[in-house]
Amino acid sequence: MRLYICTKCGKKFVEERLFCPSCLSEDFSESSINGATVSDRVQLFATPAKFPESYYVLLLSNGELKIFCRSDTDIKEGMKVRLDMEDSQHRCR
Amino acid sequence: MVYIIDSGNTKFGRSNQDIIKLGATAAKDIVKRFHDAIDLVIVSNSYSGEYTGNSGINSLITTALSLDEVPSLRVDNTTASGSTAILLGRSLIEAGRVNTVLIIGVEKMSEVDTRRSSEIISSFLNPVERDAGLTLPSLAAFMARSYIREYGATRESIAMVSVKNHRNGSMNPIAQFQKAISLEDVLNSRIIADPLRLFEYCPISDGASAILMSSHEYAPSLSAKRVNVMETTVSSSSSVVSTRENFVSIDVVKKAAEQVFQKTWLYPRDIDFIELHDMATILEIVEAEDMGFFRKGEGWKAMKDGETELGGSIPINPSGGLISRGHPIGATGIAQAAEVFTQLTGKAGKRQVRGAERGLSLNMGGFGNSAIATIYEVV
Repeated sequence: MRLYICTKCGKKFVEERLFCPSCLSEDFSESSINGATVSDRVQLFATPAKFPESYYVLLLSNGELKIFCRSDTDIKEGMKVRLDMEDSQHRCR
Repeated sequence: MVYIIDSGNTKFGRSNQDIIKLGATAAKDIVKRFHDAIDLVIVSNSYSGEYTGNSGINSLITTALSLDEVPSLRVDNTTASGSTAILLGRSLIEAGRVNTVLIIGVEKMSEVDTRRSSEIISSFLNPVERDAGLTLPSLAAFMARSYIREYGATRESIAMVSVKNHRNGSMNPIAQFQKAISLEDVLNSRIIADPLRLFEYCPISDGASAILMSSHEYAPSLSAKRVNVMETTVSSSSSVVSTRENFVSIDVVKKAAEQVFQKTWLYPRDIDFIELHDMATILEIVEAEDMGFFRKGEGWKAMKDGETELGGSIPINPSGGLISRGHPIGATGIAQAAEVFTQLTGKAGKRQVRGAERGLSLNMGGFGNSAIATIYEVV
């Protein structure tokens, strides 16, 4: 998952922005989040079109940021997962 | 002061009418009574393009009402569109730009299947989270899990929100669900997002509501029936839900409520009933706490003890709320205002909150992206 780091104040975020949400700087460096730990998880049985009919949404933490990710399998709290992009969707394994 | 002087609704649920007719029908009786006095029409609608292939819905509806030459506009702030339209209409009247505003909230959602509907609604999410398969029901499930873990709430106490709202809805002629249900019905319905079940979520709805707002100076010449829109406040936050501090509280709800109480010099104890944004059962409990009606972590006990029932100390969602009345997205904020108007003018029939003089509505956009709190008072 792409990670933006403000070169002025060091603020980290994952969403597309034109200005840093903390100091309004326009200069960011790009990095990536490759792994994180499962904080909580929800199994869905009613899902949007273009997604499978059932899956898990995981709430992950890497110590600094919280991130949501989809998983086809149940991964319990405290487990470490790897983050990938697949068909333009964030997946974790 | 700005007043609501009239209201109208269609039945909520599945409608055979197209979205234009639906919106116009909710306002038909108001227009019959006040046609020549309407200065501006605001249409609250989020997804007319996605669900029905219509754009410029405000102009299509004003034509259907033969208000062709009355200026009109459409307001979209997702699930908070209705209250946003009220905020705008009230501001324009207060600023002296217009004397009256007809606000029509409408959505027609039944023309696509459930999975497409879920895709349309999820488009409010920031792409970085939408691409992870996050949905509104899944966010409510995260909230329920966190709340139970943090405060030891029983599963039954959360499900009881649905039982209460269905009971209230059974007394509301416009409600999508007209039948009371039991706790067993709720807890035996199928899981949508673990642990929350089908009857704990609002349904997919067609429907429309309308209100007519008027200036203090103009209202007496139009109607003897008036409700003062005392104050309406808005609070907003990031579209990225993972930036929220936790899932047991909604910051924008807290802030909008703090502001509305501060500006009116009122306290929660001064409010006789509330219309809340119960997209899911757990949200009603968390929002009531965040607005100061119960201590944090104790809302579930109040629910269990019947405090939020019609005859309780603070009735919540006498209309049946989103869960039972239904949630045609663009209509919801207006339906809340229409219910408050009906209650404060003593016309709510079997679901009437006895002696109600002041009501509060809370309309939320997205999942804590924005919240709008409004306090109304009988005149």
